[in-house]
Amino acid sequence: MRQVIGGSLFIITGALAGAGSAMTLTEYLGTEPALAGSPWASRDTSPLSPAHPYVVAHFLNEGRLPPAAGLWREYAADQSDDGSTLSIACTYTLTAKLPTHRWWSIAAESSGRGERPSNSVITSDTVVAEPNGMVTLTISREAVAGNWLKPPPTGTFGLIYTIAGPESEQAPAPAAMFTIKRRDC
Amino acid sequence: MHRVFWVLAAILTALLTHTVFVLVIPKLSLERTMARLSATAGMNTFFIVPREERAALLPSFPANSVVGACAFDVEAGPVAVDANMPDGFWVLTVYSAKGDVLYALDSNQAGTSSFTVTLSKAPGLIEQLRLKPTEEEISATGWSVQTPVTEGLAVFGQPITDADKSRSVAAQMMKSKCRRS
Repeated sequence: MRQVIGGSLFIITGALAGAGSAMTLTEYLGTEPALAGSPWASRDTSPLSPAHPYVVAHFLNEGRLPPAAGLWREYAADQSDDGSTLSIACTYTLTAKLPTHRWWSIAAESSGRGERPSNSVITSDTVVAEPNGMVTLTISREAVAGNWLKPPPTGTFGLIYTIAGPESEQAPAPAAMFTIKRRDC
Repeated sequence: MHRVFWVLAAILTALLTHTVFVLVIPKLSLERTMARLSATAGMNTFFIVPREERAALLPSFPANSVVGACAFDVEAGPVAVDANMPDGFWVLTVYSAKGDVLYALDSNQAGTSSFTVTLSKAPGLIEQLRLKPTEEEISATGWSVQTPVTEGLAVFGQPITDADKSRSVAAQMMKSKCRRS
C-alpha cells in the first residue's frame, strides 16, 4: 500500500513537472528583446528556430494564429521605458521614426488571459506623421487631439506593434521602435 | 530497485505531459477554432470571418478590417484557393492544422490581386522515391503548396479603418473561392 502511494506521488510530481516546464517554456522560449533595455520583445516565429514548437504553442494557446516569419514581425510590450507596468490609470507618449514604405500597426490589448483585444489600433494608413517620418502617439483614457490610442476599459494592458515588409525577419532599426514614456498617473 | 522504477516512471510521465502541453493541446485549440469558424460554410469553402472573431485572430488589425478564410482538407485531392483581393495592403497566410505557416504572401510581394494557390498533400517517402516528376510538372508547381498535414486554414486579411470601405472590400473579397481542383 505504501509503495502504491509513494509511486503515485512520483507520477503526480512527474506530471506537474512536465506541465509546469511546458507552460514556462511556452511563455518565455523564443522571446528576444528588440533592443537592449527596450520594453519591446518579439517571438522568433521562424520554423528553423529550435523554439518553434513553443512559439507556435504560445500563439495557439492564446486563440491566435502565429505571425508568418518573413511577412511581418510582431513586438509586444507590457511595460513603459521606466519598467512600470502599463496601466489605464496613466497617460503614455509613444514616439518613433518609422519607415514610410512599410505597413505597420500598433494595438492596445487587455493583459488578462482569455481577454479579447480592445482592438484600438493605429496603422500606417491612419496615423498623422511629421514630414520627417516621426510619429507621436498618446495612450490615455480621455480622447486627445492627434494620434490617440484608447486603452482597454480596465486594469493593465499590453501593446502589440506589428511591422510588415521584406526586412521583417530582422529587428528594425532602433529609431523604428517606439519609446514608451509614462506621463501622468 | 522499486525507487528506480518509480523515478523512471516519473521522468516518462514528465516527458509525456510536456509533449501533450506543447504539441497536442495547442493543436486541439486550433482545430476547435477552425471547426467553429467553418461551421456554417463547411470545408473547402471561402467565407468572411465574423467581426467578433477577427480581433482574436489578427489583433494588430483595426476593428473594421476584413478577414476571409478557407478551412481546407487535401486528403481527397488538391484544393485551389482563387484569391480576389481588393486594392491596398493585404496578407494571405496558409496554416497547417498544427499551426505551422505553409505559405505567406502580402500585396507587395504578390504584384497582383488575383491569383490561385493550389494546396495538395505532400507525397510520402515511398511515393517520392517511386514517382519522378517530369519537367512540365516541375514548371507547373509555381504558386502551389504541398502540405504534410492534410487539413489547415488559409487566412486572407486586409486592414481597414473605415466602415463603409470595409463593406466594399468584403464584397470584393467574397469573389475569392476555395474549390477542389
